[in-house]
Amino acid sequence: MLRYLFLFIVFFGVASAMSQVSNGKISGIVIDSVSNTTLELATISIFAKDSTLVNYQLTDKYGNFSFPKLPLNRELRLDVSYVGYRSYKRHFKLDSIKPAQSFRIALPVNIDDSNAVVIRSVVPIRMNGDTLEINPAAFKMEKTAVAEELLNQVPGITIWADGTITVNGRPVPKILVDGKPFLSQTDPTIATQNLPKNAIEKIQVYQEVDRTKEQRDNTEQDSVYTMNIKLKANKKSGYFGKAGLGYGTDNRYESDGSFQLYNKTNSLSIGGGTNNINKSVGSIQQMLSNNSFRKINPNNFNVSSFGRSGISKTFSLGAVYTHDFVYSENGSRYNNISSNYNHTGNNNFVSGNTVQERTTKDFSQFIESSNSNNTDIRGYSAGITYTKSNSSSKNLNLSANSNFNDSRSFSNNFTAVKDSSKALQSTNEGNSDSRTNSRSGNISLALSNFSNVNPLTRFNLTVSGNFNNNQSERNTRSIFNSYANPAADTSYNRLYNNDQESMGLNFNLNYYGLRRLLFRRFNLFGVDLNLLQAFTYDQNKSYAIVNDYDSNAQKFMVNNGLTNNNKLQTIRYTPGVVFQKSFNKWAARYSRNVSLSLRLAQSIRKEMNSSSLAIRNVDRSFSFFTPSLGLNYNYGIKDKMMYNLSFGFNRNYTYPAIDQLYTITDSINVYNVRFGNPDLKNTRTDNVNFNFSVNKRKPKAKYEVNASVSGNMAYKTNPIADSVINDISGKRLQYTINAKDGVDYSLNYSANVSRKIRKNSLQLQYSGTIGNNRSTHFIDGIISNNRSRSFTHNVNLQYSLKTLLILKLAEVVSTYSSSQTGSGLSSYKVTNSSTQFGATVNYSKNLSFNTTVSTTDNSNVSNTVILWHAFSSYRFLKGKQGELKFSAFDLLKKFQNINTNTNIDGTSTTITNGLQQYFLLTFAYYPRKFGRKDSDD
Amino acid sequence: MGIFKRNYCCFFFCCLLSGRLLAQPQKLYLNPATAGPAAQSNFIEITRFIPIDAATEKISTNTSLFITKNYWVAYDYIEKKLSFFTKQGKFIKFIAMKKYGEPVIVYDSKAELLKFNIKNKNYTLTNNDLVAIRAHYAKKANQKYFKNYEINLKEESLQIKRTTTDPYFIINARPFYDDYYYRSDMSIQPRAKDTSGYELQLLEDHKPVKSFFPFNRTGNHIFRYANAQMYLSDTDTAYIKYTSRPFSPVIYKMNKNSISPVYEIVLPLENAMPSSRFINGFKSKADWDNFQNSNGAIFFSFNSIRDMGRHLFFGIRFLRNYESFLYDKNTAKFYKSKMIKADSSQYNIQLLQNGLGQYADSHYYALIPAQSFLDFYEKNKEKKIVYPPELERFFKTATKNSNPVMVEYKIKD
Repeated sequence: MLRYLFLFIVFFGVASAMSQVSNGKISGIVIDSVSNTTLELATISIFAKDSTLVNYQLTDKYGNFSFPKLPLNRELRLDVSYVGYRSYKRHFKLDSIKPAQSFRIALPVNIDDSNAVVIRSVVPIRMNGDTLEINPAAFKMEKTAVAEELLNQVPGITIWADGTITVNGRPVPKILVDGKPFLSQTDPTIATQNLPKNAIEKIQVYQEVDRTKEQRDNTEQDSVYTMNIKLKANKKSGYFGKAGLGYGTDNRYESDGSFQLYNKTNSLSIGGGTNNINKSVGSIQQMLSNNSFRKINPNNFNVSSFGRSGISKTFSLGAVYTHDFVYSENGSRYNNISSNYNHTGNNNFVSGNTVQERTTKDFSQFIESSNSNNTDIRGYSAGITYTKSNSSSKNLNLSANSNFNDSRSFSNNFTAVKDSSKALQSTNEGNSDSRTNSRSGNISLALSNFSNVNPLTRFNLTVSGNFNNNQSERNTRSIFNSYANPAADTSYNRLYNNDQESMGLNFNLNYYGLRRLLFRRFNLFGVDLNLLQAFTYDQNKSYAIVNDYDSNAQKFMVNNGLTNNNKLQTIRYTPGVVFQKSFNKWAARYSRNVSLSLRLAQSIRKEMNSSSLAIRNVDRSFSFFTPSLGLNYNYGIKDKMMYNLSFGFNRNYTYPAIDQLYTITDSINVYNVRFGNPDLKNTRTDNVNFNFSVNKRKPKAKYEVNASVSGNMAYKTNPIADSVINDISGKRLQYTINAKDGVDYSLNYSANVSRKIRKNSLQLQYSGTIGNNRSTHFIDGIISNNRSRSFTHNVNLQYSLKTLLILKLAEVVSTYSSSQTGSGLSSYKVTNSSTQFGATVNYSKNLSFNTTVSTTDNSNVSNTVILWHAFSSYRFLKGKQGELKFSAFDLLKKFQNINTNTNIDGTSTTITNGLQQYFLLTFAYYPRKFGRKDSDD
Repeated sequence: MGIFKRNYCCFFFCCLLSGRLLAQPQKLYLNPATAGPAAQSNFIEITRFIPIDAATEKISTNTSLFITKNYWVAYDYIEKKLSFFTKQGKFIKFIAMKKYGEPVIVYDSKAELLKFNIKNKNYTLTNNDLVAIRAHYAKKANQKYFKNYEINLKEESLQIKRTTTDPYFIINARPFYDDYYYRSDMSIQPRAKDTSGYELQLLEDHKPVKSFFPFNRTGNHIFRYANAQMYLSDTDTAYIKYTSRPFSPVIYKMNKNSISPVYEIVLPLENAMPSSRFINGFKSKADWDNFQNSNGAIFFSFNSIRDMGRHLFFGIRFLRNYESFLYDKNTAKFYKSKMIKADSSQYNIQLLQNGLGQYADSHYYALIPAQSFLDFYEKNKEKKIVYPPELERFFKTATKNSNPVMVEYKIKD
């Protein structure tokens, strides 16, 4: 890692030095030619000879401007513009003899045009009232450049390696096109990575009220940044997409495509794909995200997944149609209907070998197993959603969805259990053949109203219903041979027929008018009162018919111990009330907000279980008090920093399920035979969590910085745990018990730093987690306190030299350990570290190379696993609509799919089949047309 | 719908008729986009600099200023602090207003009182509540929603005292002259029984004595979501005020109980509300919000109108912006006030950035941050600039965190 880091820093230093040979400077003042008064906020732009924008700024309140670090010995043009005045242009050149120039620019009023709203020079950026407007026409870029590449050129805007966009350090949660989510999709990259710069009239960035806090009266609503991409009037309809086909060695193939068609009120998206390279095609929404026109992909999203077990053949087809009943550019006004359809299929073949070391009281066990599994799944889903919103305060959402899935699976496995001297103690050979058909559907209604006129009518209501039906048939054969005790040998050929039906109804009402109802105009000292009403009814019916093959009778006979009918009905009713109070303070330079929230709720539950097995006929009732408390503090220093701190506490209860109390014990898998415990108590969990984040919000800061740390602690009373009895033959009997109180805690932290150096950028992202779990278990009758710890550190460094070169270095280190206090039990520790290096070189406008290398070391595996991929792509045809791509995967042919796992029982290492070296040649065509006329493209 | 259209037609006919009967206003053509810059010294003569002398108190420039007979009173609306100074800039005392709530402050020059009307923070009132309360403003039960305080400026102690709630405050009426008050209530009540509303009413003894500009209080009126009101701008004569109506770029002069248009500000078409909106109004709050977002440059109302012989000053509230303008009657030219820049003769101190200062005794007053003076001083240290003695003294001790300087100035005639 250090070696790579050193090389990276050296390279970055050289590249930075090369990019900073500009020591020229110009400065000046802009005045009105008649009155000689200074003009504030005049736009000053510096263009290169080829009209590329070099830099720009607005004059200060004294009309002054200053541009340091301009290139020497280069023809430059100074453009000055101000609404109502004639624009000013002047060519100049700085050199080492005269590296600085000063200008006094007197602008005459534009008397030719009485309206004087015609701006003759192109202004790259300006403030229009409270809105920052970016004018794409002022940025000289390739004709094929998309919105994201344009945004990358704007100072103050950072596009992070994970796709997040920030403006002056503040994230932009909402990116709209003409006031709406583009194509009704939530992923903004569908707009920013497809819409060409030439189709955009302007990009507006403005602040608006954070609607997520609108339900609260006394909370001063934060403002959040929204970005709106306003299309040119003749570009409000168009189409774009991708069709790709590739074939390679080892009969590897892939094909994917998507096509989007839109106008002011309608949009249609269709997509599909198939491959056998472990690449996810996904739903139609994912296809739209994956098949964007954007040419730079330094993170290698959406390529073959070598880390996935087995080989998958997959396909997916989908479509989404959306119709807006009204055309509006108001982001809070909707009246549209959207329907979607997806058909997916996957065939996955996995074979693997696992070596496991298991700790027991008197002996250690080594378990070697091999298995193979072939699963074939076909799925269909369709849905329709109607959304209506007259304003941000009134919303209606109606949706209905259905899913159909069929799957077929075959599996074989062989397990051998050995003792510490590696003597064979038992074997188990099994195979299984299963089919499953499942159908599900749901319908939901969400209605909210937050009327400023009538507080009594403020509410948020959701009502939903769902239905599921699963039918499955499984034939499992299992032969167990014990070398320690041959009398314990078993052999099964068992046929399971399960039919499961479930339905559920949910009703949730948050009523925000309670205070008004109870106290009329009296505001209860600023304390908000919300009423909560939640009601759920679930019914689950299952019919299990289990037959064992009788070799004497040569037919399947009913197993009366396992065959059963069960009907479980659960009613949950949770009334509650929420008290909220906020304290706000605003000053010229800072703002401070503290909000407190206390939720008092009683969870009342009734469960009725009726079964053909008499012992399982149980009716139970519970009533739990489940309070929660929240504290949120934020402190912002204007144009400097924003700090957020939140703290929360909540108490929850869970009660043991009927299957944990009265388990129907099936001993077909002798290595895991589970028994119930009717004496199990309810578990109480007290959760405490906190979050702290800091964001730098300095508009002209060199560095953009944000960091956060969050933690969670859960204290469990009467947690449910296992008591395991190990047999020397490897047989395991598992009893469910209540253990001693236990604690889990976790800590997550991250920090991001970004620096833009002219058009280059350096980004450093770090994130890490610490996890700790303390729980009590019984192993072979010995009580053991188990402590599991995990640490992960993820460092990501990315340097972009304009769009020419992108270098990326990432290091991921994770450590998992498990320690036991029980005498004779062993502790385990596994460390995994992975270093990834990536480089993207856009050699010319059309040709690019990309390579990624990752090395993985694992303390349980002697060899270092290296995975090296290389790609090159060539764009051709008009508008770069054709792409030829050559991909070479696993160049060193050294990749192995290895997974390690640590838990209270011990460690295990699994090696599975997966992708190996292959080469793939892909051709893709990107059909694109925006607007009826291409004349101004 | 037909009824509404007929009502609107009547309304416009009345407006038209009343306009015809009154004198023809002078037309002034203003293009907000091209109103130019000018040198501040052409219009303003600075008469005094008075550094605020408050060693223990930090005085902000985020203030509303009241010039009373003996004091300058600054209300810091961020820190919610009321500060009293002598007219020589000497700090006297401050009163923390936070515990009282957000006040509407009125200076009663006749009685030498500062009156405070504060919504009782124990109650949350919607617009409908306010309409209901104002309809029965005399009811004692409705007085609890407001708290009134006053400071008697004749008393040296300058104590704030609770007083009984003044019904004028409940109905949001403001003093006009003598015992007359004025009120502007343009709330639209779609289900109101009484459909008649007036944009402006003169009140005496809490009762309307004269009403101007009738409108229909029901239906989709253009006022429905606009939250509009008419304000009277002061002149040197107590019973003469200037005012304007929402969406109508005409400046009216009120002389006691008569009103007449004096200036019609002719704006480009892009700044005018489409005529269809006067007939159809806005269907919903969303329709209004959407319209505002897409038509931010449309004229909404005038405020801070001041007719000063050679000059006319006013602010324009557009749907999403605010600008103020100065009109030179001699040259018939408009200037954007924030583009009226001070040169070195006035130490680069911008006095019209946020409109005209507070007016009293033929002078205007504005609090200017110390930083603005120091910026100029530091920049011009090498030059031999002669400063008035009070500024010379100020520069010797001032830092960027020093208290502001009160600037007294006149508009040149």
